Amino acid sequence: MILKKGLFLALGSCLISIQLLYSQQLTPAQRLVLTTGEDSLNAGTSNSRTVISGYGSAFYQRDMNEKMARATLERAVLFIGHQFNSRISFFSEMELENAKVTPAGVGNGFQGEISMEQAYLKFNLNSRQYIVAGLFVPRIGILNENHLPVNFNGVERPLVEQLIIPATWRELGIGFYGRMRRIPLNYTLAILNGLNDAAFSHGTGLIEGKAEGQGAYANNIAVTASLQYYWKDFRFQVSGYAGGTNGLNQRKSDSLQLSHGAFSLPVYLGEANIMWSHNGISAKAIGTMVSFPDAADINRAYANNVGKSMYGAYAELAYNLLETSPKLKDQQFNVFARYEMLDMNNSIPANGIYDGTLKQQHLIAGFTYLPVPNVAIKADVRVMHTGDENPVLVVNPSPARVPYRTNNSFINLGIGYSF
Amino acid sequence: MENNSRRSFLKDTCKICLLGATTFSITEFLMSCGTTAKSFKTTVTDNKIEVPLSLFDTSNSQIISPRNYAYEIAVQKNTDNTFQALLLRCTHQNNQLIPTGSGYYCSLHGSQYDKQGHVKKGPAEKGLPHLTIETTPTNLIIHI
Repeated sequence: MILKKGLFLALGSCLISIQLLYSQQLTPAQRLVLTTGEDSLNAGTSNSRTVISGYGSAFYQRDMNEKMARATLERAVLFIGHQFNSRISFFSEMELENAKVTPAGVGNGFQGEISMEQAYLKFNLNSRQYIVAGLFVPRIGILNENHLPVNFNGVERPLVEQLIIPATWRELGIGFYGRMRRIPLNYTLAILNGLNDAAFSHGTGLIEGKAEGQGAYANNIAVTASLQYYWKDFRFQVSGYAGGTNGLNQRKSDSLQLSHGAFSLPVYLGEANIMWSHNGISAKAIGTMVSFPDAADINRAYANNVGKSMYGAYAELAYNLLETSPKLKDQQFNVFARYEMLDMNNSIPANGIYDGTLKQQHLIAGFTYLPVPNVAIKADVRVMHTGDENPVLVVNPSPARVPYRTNNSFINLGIGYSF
Repeated sequence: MENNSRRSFLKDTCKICLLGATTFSITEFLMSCGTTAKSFKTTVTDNKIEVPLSLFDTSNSQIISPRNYAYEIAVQKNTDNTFQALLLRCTHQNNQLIPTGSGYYCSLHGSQYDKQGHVKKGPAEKGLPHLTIETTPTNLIIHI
């Protein structure tokens, strides 16, 4: 009798719970999550139509010249994807940098930012070709398209792919991606909004000119394309970018004596890279060049002291010490060394001021330990050498400023994850 | 004037011929040294794909491209004359995979799989789905 009562009570409470569940105003996505059991614990591995996943990284860095150590939750990124049907999908990445968003100047050099890294619709044409539309990262360089911390060595992203190729470089546009059927050749072609030359600032290359989906100038546009070829354990890639940087209308452009139009005041970027991996040894190398022929016009209009051309290159060699260990074959302990060189004022216009600190060489050596493929524990030392500081560019220095040294080193410790 | 135009016409024609020959040579070179599997286009009928077994006389691996289907299928003939069929759909966010020399790659977030479909690099955590297959005297039938 007591058992029967218990059963009735249990059944009744279940029915009430289900009624309560469906009496709420639920969106289709919420219903999907509730009915498929998909949550943040099993998402990313299920075949549900809505997928939640993400990545993140945190680091500690000691600057040996400044004798200062800093630590930050560098980024936490949430992916949300949804497959509407077999032909149309949505992908997004929302990023929070440096843990919290605060008013400008409060972050002590680690300004918090919340932004969309990607948000686009993907239309499958067939099994080898698709079109993307929205905010996406074009295939330029090695890191831009594949920037998860578990997939590159070093606590810091390669500097060439931060300062010369401004990864993560995302813009609004339309892209066509495909692969040849008879040749292992992949190709992309995309039209994007252009950069904003008024925002270019000395020492940051193209970075500040990116719109990243926020009110982008679209009077000016850009075209980017890439070719990628696989041969045995090699991957070869070349890509290029050409785009106008002045999005102002004719009246405003005339007032600043700037040319205007879709490809006005153009920036050209070209890069080539090669990757190889075999039996635990991996190597990669990239070279890139940026040309900005009308830099003088920009300096005259906005006094932002930008250069006419920049270049950068790096080469990296790594070896997985656990490659031949039968007991630890699911883990990786990659030791690596990378050499980078870059010059952000390779050539400057007559109205530019040369800055030797922007001609840099870096040697990075360290390890990346992956106890599982999606968790990385990293440590490295970066030794940096630059050209001399130009005293003309040091305006009102603080009395507490540590004198600039052309040689410096950094100790980095970091963690990263993806799922 | 006429000489000039004839000269420029000949120059342009030679340039076009040179460009065509170079493109053809590069294409031939890329085709000859490409290391990914051969490709075969077919149709899906009743959620089944039929592939002639004779395709595997010249190559142990084939990439099957079903018409009106979002993903390709990698079919491998094993040394014991059995077959495996992998659906080239990334288990992370269902993106199409790119065949490479040593496995399969997802350009969306960088997941990598080996030829057997095991995860080599994340963020994917699960291996590629193996499709059910059966063989007839002349064909391989793949159930999707």
